Amino acid sequence: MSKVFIKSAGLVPVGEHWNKSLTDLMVEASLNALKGQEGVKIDRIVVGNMMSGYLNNQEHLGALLASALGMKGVEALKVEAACGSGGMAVHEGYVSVKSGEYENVLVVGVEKMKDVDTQVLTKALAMAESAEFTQVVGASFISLNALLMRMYMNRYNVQEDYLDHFPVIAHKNAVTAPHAQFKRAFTLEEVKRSPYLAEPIRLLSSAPSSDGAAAVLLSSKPSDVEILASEVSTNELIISQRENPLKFEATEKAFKKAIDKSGVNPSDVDFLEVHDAFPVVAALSLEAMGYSEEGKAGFDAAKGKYNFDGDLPILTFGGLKARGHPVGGTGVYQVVEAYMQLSGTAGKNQIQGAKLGVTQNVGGVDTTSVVHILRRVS
Amino acid sequence: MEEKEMPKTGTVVSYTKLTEPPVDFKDYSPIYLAMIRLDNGVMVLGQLADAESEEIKIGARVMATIRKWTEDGQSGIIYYGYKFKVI
Repeated sequence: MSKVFIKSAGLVPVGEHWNKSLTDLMVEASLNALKGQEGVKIDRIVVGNMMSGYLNNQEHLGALLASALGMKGVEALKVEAACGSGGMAVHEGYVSVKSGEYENVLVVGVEKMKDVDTQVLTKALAMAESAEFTQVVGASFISLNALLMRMYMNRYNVQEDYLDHFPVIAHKNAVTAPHAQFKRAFTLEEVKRSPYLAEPIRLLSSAPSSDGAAAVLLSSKPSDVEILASEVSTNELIISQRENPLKFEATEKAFKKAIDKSGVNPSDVDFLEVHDAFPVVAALSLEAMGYSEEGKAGFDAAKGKYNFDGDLPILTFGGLKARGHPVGGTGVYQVVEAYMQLSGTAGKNQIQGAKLGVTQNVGGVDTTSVVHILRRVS
Repeated sequence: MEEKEMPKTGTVVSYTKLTEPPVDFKDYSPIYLAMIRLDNGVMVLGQLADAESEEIKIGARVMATIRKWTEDGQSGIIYYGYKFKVI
């Protein structure tokens, strides 16, 4: 089987793109990724996206992008796994190249969320959950995470602000990230004073809605950065039916498979792009991957373990919270950011000497988890 | 598959007050949503009906009741289903 390399990457700054369509965002990210790759023949295009049908009246994104790029004839498709759509698109691209069937695959993740009313967006995001058992009772996606966070507080006997270090870390790292949606820092006090969206989750502890697109060109031809492993796992869809909702089984399994297949030691990882949609999701993810003990992620964050200069830097460009969370784009942004770290092109956000990075992107409440392990080719 | 009747009573495991519900529920904001362990051990999600926020706490006992969930505009279907009342 082929090895899989990232030949190049590109992105659109995350934000509110009132003057760009869904297609514009995909095309811009793709052209940025394809700069200097003019001679390369693209064999397959994979687009990661969750809500384009409902929010933008647009499906068929594979053919749409191929056509817009002047690549009619090239095989193209859309991949969907809720907030994990971007990570899943990279996984699909990885599998394509790994199989030997395709040499060069363009993977693009996109979401355009700001054009619709918040309540419409809230309904669209809830479609990640069961229509029969979860959406019908009026649950939003944030409210499910709020239920989870209160369970966490109750089980580990911690206060509401225990996990507030995660948004603070994210925003601090985003200050110098050119493509971040919010390039400003917040204090713990400011997070704690922000209004509730769904108790105990507050405005400043929730990832924003965003417009954005990111792209990577995957290839079997050697280049600076190799994807050592790309693994996916799933958990019971309905969180109330999980034996232990505070155990992120999908992340635990995907991470373990990725570690086993790549043969790397988890303690050798130089940075981690974790799916910090809400602080409790960051915490349960880090605990599932074994970087913090159960109930201790907030404690480790408070001690500086996950700071930019800590033992294991996370969210090196601001993560979902501050770089922004264009849902179907997020998993690809994470991989582009890992590529920047490993190719030494991360600018002011460069982790010095970074050789090994992990990205973890989830769909739903850890319902789908996609883990990538990437290394610098020396 | 076979149908099984669930017990009507249970205990609140977790809860939240939702001020920005999905668009179909916008007229019913705020929504008190809870995770409830029914007395046979099965856990379900549901809204708390007629709940004053100070009554809601982990461990509160609740009973299932039939209530209106939402409706499809002026002329569409009215959806009824279970909600839970604190007892």
